[in-house]
Amino acid sequence: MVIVPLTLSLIVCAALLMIGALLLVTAWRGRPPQSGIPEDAPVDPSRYGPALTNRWLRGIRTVFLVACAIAIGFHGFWVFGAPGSDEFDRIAVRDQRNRRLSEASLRGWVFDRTGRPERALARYRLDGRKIVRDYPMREAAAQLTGYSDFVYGSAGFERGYAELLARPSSAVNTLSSPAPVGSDLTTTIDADLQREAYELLKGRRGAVVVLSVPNSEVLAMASSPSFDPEIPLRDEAAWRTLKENAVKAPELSALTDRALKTYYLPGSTFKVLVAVAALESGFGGERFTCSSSGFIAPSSRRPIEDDSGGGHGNIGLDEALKHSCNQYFAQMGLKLGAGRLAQVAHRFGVETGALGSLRDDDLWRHSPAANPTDFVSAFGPPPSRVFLPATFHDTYTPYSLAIESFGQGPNQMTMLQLALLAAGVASPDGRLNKPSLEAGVELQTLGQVCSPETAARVRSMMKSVVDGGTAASAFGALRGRIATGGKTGTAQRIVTVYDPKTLEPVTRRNRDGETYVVRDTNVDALFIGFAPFENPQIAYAVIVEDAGHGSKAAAPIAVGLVRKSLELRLITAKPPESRESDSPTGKPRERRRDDDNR
Amino acid sequence: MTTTTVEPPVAAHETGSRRERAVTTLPASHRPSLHLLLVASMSLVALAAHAAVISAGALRGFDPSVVVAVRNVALFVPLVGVVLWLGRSQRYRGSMVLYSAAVLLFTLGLSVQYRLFTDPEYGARGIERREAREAKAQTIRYLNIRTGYSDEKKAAIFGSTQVPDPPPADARASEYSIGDILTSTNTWIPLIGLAGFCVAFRLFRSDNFLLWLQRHTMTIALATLLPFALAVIVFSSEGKFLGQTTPWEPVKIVFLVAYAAMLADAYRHLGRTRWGIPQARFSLPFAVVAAIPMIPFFVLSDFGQMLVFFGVYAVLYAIAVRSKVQLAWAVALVLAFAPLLYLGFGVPGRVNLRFHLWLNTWQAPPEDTGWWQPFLARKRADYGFAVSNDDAWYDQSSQLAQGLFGIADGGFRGQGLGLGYPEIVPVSDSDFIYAAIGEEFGLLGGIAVLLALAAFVWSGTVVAIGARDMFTKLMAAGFTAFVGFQSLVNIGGVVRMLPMTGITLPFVSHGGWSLITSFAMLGVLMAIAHRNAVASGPE
Repeated sequence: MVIVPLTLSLIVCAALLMIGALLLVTAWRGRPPQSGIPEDAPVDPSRYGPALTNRWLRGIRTVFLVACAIAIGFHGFWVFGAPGSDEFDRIAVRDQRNRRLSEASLRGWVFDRTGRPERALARYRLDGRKIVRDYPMREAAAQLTGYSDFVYGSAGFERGYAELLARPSSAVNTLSSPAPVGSDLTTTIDADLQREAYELLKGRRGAVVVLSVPNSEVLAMASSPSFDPEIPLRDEAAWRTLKENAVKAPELSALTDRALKTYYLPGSTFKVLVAVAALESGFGGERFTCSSSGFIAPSSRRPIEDDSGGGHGNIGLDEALKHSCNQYFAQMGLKLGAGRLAQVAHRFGVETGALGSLRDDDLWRHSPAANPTDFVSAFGPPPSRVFLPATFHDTYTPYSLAIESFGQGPNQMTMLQLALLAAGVASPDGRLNKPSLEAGVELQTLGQVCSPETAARVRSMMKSVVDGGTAASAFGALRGRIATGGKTGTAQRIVTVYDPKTLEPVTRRNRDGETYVVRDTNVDALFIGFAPFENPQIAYAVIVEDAGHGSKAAAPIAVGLVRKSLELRLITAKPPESRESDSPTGKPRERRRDDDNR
Repeated sequence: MTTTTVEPPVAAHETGSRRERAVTTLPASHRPSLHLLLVASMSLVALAAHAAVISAGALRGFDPSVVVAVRNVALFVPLVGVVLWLGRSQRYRGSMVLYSAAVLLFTLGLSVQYRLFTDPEYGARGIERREAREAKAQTIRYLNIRTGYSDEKKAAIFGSTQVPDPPPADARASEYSIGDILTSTNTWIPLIGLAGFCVAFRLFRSDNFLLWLQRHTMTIALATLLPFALAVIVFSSEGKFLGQTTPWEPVKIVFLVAYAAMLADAYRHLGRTRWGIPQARFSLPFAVVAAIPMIPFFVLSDFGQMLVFFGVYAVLYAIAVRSKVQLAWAVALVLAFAPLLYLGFGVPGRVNLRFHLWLNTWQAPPEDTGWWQPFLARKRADYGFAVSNDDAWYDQSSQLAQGLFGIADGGFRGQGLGLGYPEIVPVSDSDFIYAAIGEEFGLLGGIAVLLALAAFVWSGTVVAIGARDMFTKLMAAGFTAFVGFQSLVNIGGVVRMLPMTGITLPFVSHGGWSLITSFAMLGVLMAIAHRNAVASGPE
C-alpha cells in the first residue's frame, strides 16, 4: 500500500519542519551573550570597532535570510507556477518520469464489441516473465489499435483514448499502487470481421470500412499494407526506417491509414449521391441521351465518354446507375447544379464550400471519456484541399461539375465518408446516424439525408447493379443466399512515381534539360454497398489502389465481407418480420451471444 | 526548565574579569537537555524515514537493506553521545542550536541517500540501468495485476487466476553483510566527521592553540598550499581526485583560518583609504594571501568552490574593514565586469555553459556558438551518431531539467520517500540532493532544510557577534558564511536561482570529505561559542 510510505514520509517531513521551526525560534530568542564590548571601552560604544563589525554582520545575516526566502520562492515557482505554462508543458515531454510511469502502469484494455478478454484488441500478455502490452490482432488492426509509444500510443485507440486508458480505474488502486491501473474501453469493432477484412486486402494497397446500419457503429476498419504494432517496442531500427519511409513516400507507406486519413477520388460510387440528389429534386424521371461520341459539357471541348466505349442510348436513372453511365450523370449533375449537389453532399458529411466545413471529426460521436483533441488527432482526417462549392467560379467550371458527378472531379472523400454514403441510403428511414467506434455511446443523428422513398429507390437501383449490372459477375457467388445492393467505382488518379528501392520520386529531364517528377495514372477500384437488401444491417466501402476496374478488384472483397458477416451472423438473410425491428442497438451483438452459448 | 550550576573554566587572559557566578536559567538555545531531546527524537525521525523507504521499496521493486538501515539509525548513538560529551565532559555553555540544526540536515540527507543507494537503477549505467528500470516497472505491473485485475483478466494473462511472483530484481544494492557495514566508508565517514568535530572543538577552545595559529599564519598557509597544489596538478581531473573524492576539502579550514588571522591583523590599516582605495603596502600582500586558495580551485575548474571562497572572503573583508566606500568600489567593479561575463569574453567554456544553462535552460544554444562546439562534439562522439543540436542540449541540461521536473512533480507535500523518481537525476545523492528532497518531501521538505539553515546561520552570527576579539569573530563569521553560502549556492543552482556549480549541500550531501569538513567547521564554531559564553559569564 502506497499509503504506508506516504504517511511515514509525511510524518518525517512534519517532524523535521517542527524541529526546524523550533530551532529557528530558539536561535532567535536566545539572546547573544552580550555585545562583546568591554565595559571600560575607550570610546563611545556605537563607534567602537567591534560594535560596527557586529552591525555589518547583522546586515549580512539579513541578506542571507532574504536569500533563503527567495530560494523558497523559486522552489514554489517550480511547484505552483511553472507546471501548466505552455513552455514548461512542452518541455515536460522530456521528463524521463513519463517513460518510467508508462512502463510501470497498466493501461486499460481495448475490447472488441463482445467485451471478452480473449478477443481484446489491446491487452497485456506474458512475454517470458515480463508483462507487456499486446495487440493480438497484429497487422490486421494496427492503424486502429495504435501502438505503444512510451509517452502515448501515437495512433488509433492508444492515441484517441489515451486519457481514458491511463485514468485510474478505482480510487483503491490510487492508494495501493505507485502507478495506475487504467480504465478499459469497449469498442464497436468485431474482431473476426476486422481480421477477415484485412485478410481480404492483404498484399494490396487499399482499405475497408464496415458500418452497422442504422447505428453506424464501425464493425471493421482495415487498411493495407499494415505493420506489426509491436515494432515500435521491439525493433527501434525497423521502426525508424518505417517512419522515414512514411515521410518520403506516404502513398506507399504501411503507416498511412487508408481508411481515415487518405482522400480518394470516389469514382462512380459518387453516382449514388447524385442519384439521391436527383430523386430528392424530383428529377427521378429524367432521361438523357448517351451517344458513342460522348457528351460535351458547355464551355469545354473535351467529350465525356463511358468506359465501355459504346453509348447506352436514351436511358433513365435506373438504367444509368445499373450500367454506371458517365454521360448520363454528367448531364444530370449539370441539370441539378452545383448548389443542389453540394447541399446533398453536406448532408452525407462531405465538406462543402458554401455550407461550412463538415469533416470526419465533426462526424464522429464519442463519449466524454475521450479527450476531443486526442480523438481528432487519432481519428480525424488531414485537412482536405478540395470540396464541393455551391456555385461555379474560375476553377470550378461546368466541366468540373460534369466530371464531378461521376466522381472524377476535384472532390475527394475518405473511405469512412463513402461508407457513410452507403449507410445513408441503406438506412430504412433515410436518417443517418453519426458513426461511432465506442460501444454504448448515445445515438446522435447526422440528419435526414433523404426521404425513405428515395432511399428505397436507390437501394433497388443498387440491387440491380449487383444482380445484373456492373457487379453481377462478382456477386454471382452470393446469389441465392442473400440479396444485397452495391455500386462499383473506378477512379483514375494521378500519382507520383517512386523508385521502389530508394523511395525517391522518379525524375526525368525534358528536352530543355529541366527535371520533372514523373507522374502516372493509378486506376483505383472501389465498391460501396449494403446487406441484406430487405433489411440492411451493414454498409461498407472498399478501395483497392491501382487494381483496375471496381467490379474486378473491389467487388470480390465486398463479397467476402458479406459472406463473412453472414457467417458471423452479423447479418441475417431472413425477411424483416422475423427480427425485432425496433431495437436500436446491439442486434448483431445479441446474436453473437447466442452463438457463444452453443 | 533546567537550572544548572556551572563552574566554568576561565581562560588565562580573562582572569581580570572573573566574577561571582550565580545560579541562572539558560535560554532555550543553550539548554543541553532540550537539544539532547531534539537529537534523540531525530533518531526516531530517521527510523520512520528508513521504514518508509523499506515499505516503498517493496512496492517499487527494490529491496532496501535492513542492515544498512540499522547502521544509519545506530549512527545516532555517537550523535547523541557528542551532546553528552559536550555537556558533561566539556561543560559546554554556548548555543546548542548549531549542533541540532546540523543534525537535522544530516538526518534528512541520510534518509534520502539511503533511499537513493538502495535503488539499483541509481548509479547503474547502460544495460544494467535499463534492466534495473524495467525490473522495477515489472514489479509494479505484477502488483497492479494482483490487486487491480479481475480474475478473468488474470486468467487471460497467466492462464490461471494465481498471479506468480514478479521476476526478481537485481539484488546487488541490498546485499550487505555486517562485515560490509563495518568496512563501508559510509559508516566511517560520519564517525570521522564527529571525531573531527571533537578535535576541532578541543583545539579551538584553547587559547594557546589560537595564539599559535595567529603567530604562524603564513607558514601554516604555505605549508598546506604546497602539497595541495601538487596533488591538484598531478593527480586530479574535472574537480575530482582519484576515485571521485575531494581530499582537499579540509584545507578550506586552514585557508579560512589563515585569512581570518591575516585580516584580524591588518584590518585597521586596510580601513585607511585614499579615494576609497587602501594603501598598496597593506592591501597587496593581503590580496596575495587571499588569492592563494583560488589558484588550485581554478586549476581544478571548481568554480563553485571559488564562488563560495570569494563570497566568504568578501563578507569577512566587509565586516572587518566596514568601509562603505570600498563596498561601493567592489560593487562598481562587479558591475563593470558583469557585461563581459554575460557576453562570454575570456570566460572558460564551462562557465559559459553553466550560465546558458541557468538563463536558458530549455533553449539549446545555436549550433555555431563557439563555446558550445566542444560540448556538442563530445556528445556526438558519445552517441556515435549525429544527434541533433536540440537533443544534445537536452542531454547536457538533463541533470538540471530532470531535477526541476522532479521538484514540480513533488509539489507541496512530495511524492513520499521512495515513491518519486529521483534516481533519474545524476548525482542526486550529493550535488542535486535538494532536487531529491523536493521530489520526495515536496516544498515542505525544502522549507525544513531552509529553516534549519536559517537557524544555523542565525546562531553562527550570534557566535560571531559575541566574540571578544577580531580573530575569533572573523573565524566564526567565516565558517558560518561558508556553510550558509555553500548551501545557498547549491540550492540556488538546483532551483535555477543561481548558475549550477556542482558543490555539495553541507551536512546533507553524500560527500566523504565534505561531511568531515562541515563537522570540523561546526566544531570550530562551537568552540568559539563556548569561549564567548565562558568569557561573558552567565548574566
